Amino acid sequence: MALGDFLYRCPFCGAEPLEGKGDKASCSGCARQYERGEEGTRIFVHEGDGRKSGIPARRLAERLDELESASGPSREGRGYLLESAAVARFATGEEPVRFRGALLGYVEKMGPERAGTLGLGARTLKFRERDGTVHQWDLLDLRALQTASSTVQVSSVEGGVVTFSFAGDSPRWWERLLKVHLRKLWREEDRGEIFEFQPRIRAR
Amino acid sequence: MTLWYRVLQPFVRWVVIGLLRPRVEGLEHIPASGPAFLVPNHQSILDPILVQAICPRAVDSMTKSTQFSNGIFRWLLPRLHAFPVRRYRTDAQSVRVVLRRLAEGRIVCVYPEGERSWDGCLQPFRGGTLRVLLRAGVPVVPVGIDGTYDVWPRWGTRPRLGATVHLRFGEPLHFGALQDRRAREAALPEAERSLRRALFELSGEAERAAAEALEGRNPSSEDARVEPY
Repeated sequence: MALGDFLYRCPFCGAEPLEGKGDKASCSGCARQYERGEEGTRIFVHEGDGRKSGIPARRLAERLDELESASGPSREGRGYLLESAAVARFATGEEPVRFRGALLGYVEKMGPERAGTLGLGARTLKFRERDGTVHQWDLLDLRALQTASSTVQVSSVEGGVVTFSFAGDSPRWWERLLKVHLRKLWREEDRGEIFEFQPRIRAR
Repeated sequence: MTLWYRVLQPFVRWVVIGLLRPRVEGLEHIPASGPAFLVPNHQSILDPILVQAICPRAVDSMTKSTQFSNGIFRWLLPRLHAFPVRRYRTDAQSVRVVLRRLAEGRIVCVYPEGERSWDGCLQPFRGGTLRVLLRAGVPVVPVGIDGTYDVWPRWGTRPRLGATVHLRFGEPLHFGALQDRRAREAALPEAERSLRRALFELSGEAERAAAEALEGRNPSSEDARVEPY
């Protein structure tokens, strides 16, 4: 994970994604540079004119929320709202976890990594593997959505969990965009207002 | 208590105290015996280690199932009193394990936010977790963790020691044992409010919000929009 996973676009000018690795990130749009502060709750923002200020992470997150409601991603193209190189893993089943003979629970059995491209369309989520195989989910069929460490996980009514990890994009960005889009879609379909995305999507 | 827990807990405690130097308050709120929930906020990967290291009683932890994917962790975690929960579905088995362990008089730790915070602030609580708290009818000890986000935020590539870490155990909340589903649903909003209020205070977020509000008057700082609970 990196600072760019949290600040998936510039909180000031909205350009995305931020460049950089680890605890530093920079914006190619407004030349601001971001750096993990002495306290993690504060992030140093280096302005183009040399000024430096420590801004609470929460306030930067609020700015991102405001940007999200004002405008979508700036990389629209090829019919997708967002498209990223991704590695997918499909759950192939579940295995019981036992300890001293007692059943503790279950854990997903994940299949091999498959590299490809994940695209978010108006009504679909589409993963195209490098060999051309296409997996597509109707957004209204998604049953749950969450981020786990550095991945985004979705499950659909057809069952099975799929995890996506991104080399050049933030899982947080994907999760938030999917949430905004799902809320909008559910509203349009008169399915109500989504208030929970896991353990399953629920609306009232 | 498993042998592994008995052996590793003092060692981890020694390491945690040495490296993080946590300031611990309210240990007296943890029941000396009998079942209870520990309900912390979740700022960092360090939180479960910190809670288990500091709590004087053995703590059973509800842990995301993906942690059990790795062979070593799958072997070790049950020995450290962890059990898996699948987060993409309502996991009836994990609820059964929680209730069974409470019936055995143990302490169970659950994180109502369900995942680590990206910005260090309290996130919305998961309804399923709250329903389990309401159903079990045991004391719920809110645990405020403050400072682990400074040491190792979710997005941080490595820990950075030196920040002050606080661990505050609050007075137990009592929600009663609501076996009836409708009663649970009716009690849910108030339970959520009580728990959120407690964690907001104990995790230092209330204090931070007040400080940021003051700072907002400083024209050099960015827009200080503060939304206290």
